Amino acid sequence: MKADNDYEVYVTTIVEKYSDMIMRIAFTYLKQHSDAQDVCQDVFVKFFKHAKIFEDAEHEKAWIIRITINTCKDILRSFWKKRFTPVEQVIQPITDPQDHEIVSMVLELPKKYRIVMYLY
Amino acid sequence: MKDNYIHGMREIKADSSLKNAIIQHSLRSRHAQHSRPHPLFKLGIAVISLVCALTLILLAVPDVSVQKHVISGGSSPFGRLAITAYASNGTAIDVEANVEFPLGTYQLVMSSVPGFPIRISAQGADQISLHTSDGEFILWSPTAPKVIYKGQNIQIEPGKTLYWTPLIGKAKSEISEHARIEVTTHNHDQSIQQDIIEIKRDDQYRYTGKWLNSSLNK
Repeated sequence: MKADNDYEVYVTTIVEKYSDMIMRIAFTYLKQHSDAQDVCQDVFVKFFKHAKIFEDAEHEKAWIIRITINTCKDILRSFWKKRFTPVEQVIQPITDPQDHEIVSMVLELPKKYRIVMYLY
Repeated sequence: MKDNYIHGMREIKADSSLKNAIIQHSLRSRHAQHSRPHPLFKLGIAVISLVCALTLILLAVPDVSVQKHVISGGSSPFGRLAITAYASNGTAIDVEANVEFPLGTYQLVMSSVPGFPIRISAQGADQISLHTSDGEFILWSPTAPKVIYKGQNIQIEPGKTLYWTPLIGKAKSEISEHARIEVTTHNHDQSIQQDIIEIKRDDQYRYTGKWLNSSLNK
C-alpha cells in the first residue's frame, strides 16, 4: 500500500513538473493543441514504461525534451500528416492579442528555429 | 517582444483533465504490469494450445484441401470465409475459421499505411459488404496513393484490400478506441455468411483485431 502511494506521488510530481513543458514543445513543433495533447500522453507513457535511472534533474529533463521532439517528428512523418492538412487555422489558447501575434510570428519560422527559440 | 513570447507560451499548458488522465493511465499500467503472468507461463500455454489445435485439425479434417487463403469443406456451399490481414511489417497472415488471430498492430503514427489493413476473400462469393460501428473505411493503393474515404459502409470484391481508420469527425480530429465491423458475404444478392471483426486499442495506442466467427457451421 505504501509503495502504491509513493508511486502515485511520484507520478503526480513528474506529470505536474513536465506536462506544461512537453505541451509547449509539442505545440511549437506541431502547431495544433490536440496534437500536442497526444504527444504529452505518449511521452509520459514512454517515460513511465522505460523507468530510466537519471543522474540528475537536468539529465531527466533533457531525456524528456528529446523524447518529446522525437515523438513530434514521428507524428510529422506519419501518413496522415504528410497527406492531410487541417482545414482550420492554428488555434492558440493565448488571450493577449500582442502575445498571440508574437507567438504566431514565431510559429511561422522553420521548425528548427522555432524549437531553439522556445528552449532558449 | 521576448516578454510577449514568454507570456504567450506560458498560456499553453496541460489542463487538469489531461494531467489526471495521464496520472490514472500510468497507475493503471503499473497495476497491469504487476498482474501479468510470468512470460514463460504464457509461452507454455501458447505452445500447448498450438499443439492441441494442430492435433484437432489433423484428426478432424483430413481431406481438406487448403487453397490460397480459403479452406474448403465447411458446411457452407461457398466455402469458409477466410481473412488475410497484414502485420505491421507487411507479412500476410492467413486466418482459419473459429480461431482467434493476430492481425498485427496498427498505430496512427505509421507512415506506410493509411489505416488498419484487412483483406477478405471468400470462394464463391461475389461481393463482401462491411459496416463499422466506429471509425471509417478507406480504399488506398501504394501505386496510386490517393486516399478514398468510404465512410462506415463499404462493398468490395473478394480479395481486395481495404483499410480501417480510427479517425472520425469532419476534421478527422477525433479518434475511436474500438470498433465492431460486421462482415457479410453475398452471392447474387443473397447474404451467405455474417461475421464480426472487433478492433481495439490498447494502452500503448496500438490497434489490434479479433475475428469473431458467428455463422459458420450453422
